[in-house]
Amino acid sequence: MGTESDVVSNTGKSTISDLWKLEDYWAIWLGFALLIIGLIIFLPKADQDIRAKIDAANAILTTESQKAPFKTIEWYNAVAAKEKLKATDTAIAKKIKSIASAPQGWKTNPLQAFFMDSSTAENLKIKATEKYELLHQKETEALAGAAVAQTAAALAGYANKDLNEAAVSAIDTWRSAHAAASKAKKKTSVKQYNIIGSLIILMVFLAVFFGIGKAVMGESFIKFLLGFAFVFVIAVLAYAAENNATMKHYGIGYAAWAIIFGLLISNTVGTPKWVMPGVQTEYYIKTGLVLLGAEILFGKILSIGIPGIFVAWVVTPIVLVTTYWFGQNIIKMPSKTLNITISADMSVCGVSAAIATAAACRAKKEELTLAVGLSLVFTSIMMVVMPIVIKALGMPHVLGGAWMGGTIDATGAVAAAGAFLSERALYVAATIKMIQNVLIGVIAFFVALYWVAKVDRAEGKTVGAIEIWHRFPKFVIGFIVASIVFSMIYQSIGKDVGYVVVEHGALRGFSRLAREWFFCLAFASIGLATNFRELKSYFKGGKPLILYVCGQSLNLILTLVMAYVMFYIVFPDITAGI
Amino acid sequence: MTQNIDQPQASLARRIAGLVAGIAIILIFMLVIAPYMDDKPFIKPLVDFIEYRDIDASALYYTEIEEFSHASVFMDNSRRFSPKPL
Repeated sequence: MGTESDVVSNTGKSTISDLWKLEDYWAIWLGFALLIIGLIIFLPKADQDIRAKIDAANAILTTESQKAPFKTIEWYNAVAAKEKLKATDTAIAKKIKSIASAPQGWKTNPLQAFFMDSSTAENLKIKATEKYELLHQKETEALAGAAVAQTAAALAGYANKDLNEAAVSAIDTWRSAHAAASKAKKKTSVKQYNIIGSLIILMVFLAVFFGIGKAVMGESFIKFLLGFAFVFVIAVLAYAAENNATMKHYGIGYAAWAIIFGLLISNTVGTPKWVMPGVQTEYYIKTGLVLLGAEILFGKILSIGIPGIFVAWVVTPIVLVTTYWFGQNIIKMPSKTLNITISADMSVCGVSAAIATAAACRAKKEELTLAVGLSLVFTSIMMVVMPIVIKALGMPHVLGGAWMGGTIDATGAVAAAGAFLSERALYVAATIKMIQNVLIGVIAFFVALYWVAKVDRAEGKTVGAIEIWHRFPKFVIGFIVASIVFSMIYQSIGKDVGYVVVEHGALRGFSRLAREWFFCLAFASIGLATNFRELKSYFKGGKPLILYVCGQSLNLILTLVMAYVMFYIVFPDITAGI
Repeated sequence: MTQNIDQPQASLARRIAGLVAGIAIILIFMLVIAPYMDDKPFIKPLVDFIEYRDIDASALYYTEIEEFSHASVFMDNSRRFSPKPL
């Protein structure tokens, strides 16, 4: 994150040697190298067989959509048939996943994060199979009930409203049972494992990957490798902590654990000096952000039509700007970068928005840590409280889903709270949050632009276009270009094929795995270089907490009002179709 | 040679004690306090549901979680193949 040297090094003039001497450019080169490799591996998987299956499913969907005034069992089965088509199920994708895999899930024995013997695996498999059989039985019964209800509605020519509603309700019950059974089925394939070897291979690969850039930038390759190994171990421990079953309940992920473990070391025994060359927060974050850019697919913003755009793309910027203004003018936040990082973190989508915004405005690492901490605490609270409040108020689930999707910071917590309410609430909540996720790219770009043109300029002076270019954080350009290129590829090959080879190929099956590791390494670096006393000083007077609470209160009110107006007054037809 | 940024004057024994105490607090939180909280009536239903559905509540971005893929596919097909009122 921002230091005095960063600000100085990125101002003034640009030279051709910046292309290989500046970290921002290296983030772009490394990020794009991975993205291109991902495309080369996965784009050819869109073969004729895949396209034929998609066409067959779409033919069924067309027929079913014209048959009944609700989504039939056959409609859902056709969607499921398309959903099964994933390039991540190919042999090469499985191999990549096994090498890049993080520590596994565990409950009471932390060693299970790294290896499991055959007898333990066999016992777990037996338990998982028992659970699956139970859930499968429930699913079968629910499907039978749905079929009976659908047939009754069909026999009445789909003209009886009560029978149609009964069919919709029975089909919803079957979908919920189906989702649980599908997840349980995956766990029945548990096998013995030992990921130590793959972690070592991954560590060496990543050390060389980042080390080449460091060497070209004039730093010691060997010193970087040694330091990197230590940072990587902290990142591995953070993943292991995240994958504890209980921690997953509260949404405490690797970002928080990497900071906590790093802080613990740096503020007790101290971070060894030989580790510091590997503590490269910005290098890892910027490279991760270029990869994240590819995951920002602009076509997603139309997923739920105009109501979604109003809830996510109108309310969110209003809340962001208002909260920032409130922080500067009413609370008098001592730091503009802390203000905008917390405002983006709270209004957009938690940690991922905080990372992008903090990097775009060169916030200090302590400021990012504080924003992540606030987000974590409030996400856990809102994930538990909001579904209870929505149920208690008897709020419609589409409205409740939109409200949670627009206000709960963390993406995973939105899924948990949405699904807890109902499948319909999950679909709406997840879609609204996904549209908000896409907003990260736009916000990072404008924050970077605003900072170089307004905030960082000398008082009384104007900043010309050339000066803005010199000072603009170049990795943001890589971030935006990655987003535009992948959005265009996704749209040009069609959403169905894009789902198979881009979303569930080059992204989820390749770049995302790397991006998660890069962010984890960045957060471990933040912890290892952060002074706890300095961190406390940023919290002085509780201003960050006041800012977050006030901003989130506004967010809760505006999102609820906008969701109600859009989904129930302006576009009730869209709501009826969900 | 270490870079201790918080307690530069502390003895090695005290710094190691700090590390051990920190690890102990983390383990107590993970293995005692959080599981105890899991059983509280206002949290338990959500915890049980997350277990039942195996949801990754710690995901940072939509591409990290399966539920978002389901939602995206469902919403996209709902728009493209929306049932027509009879």
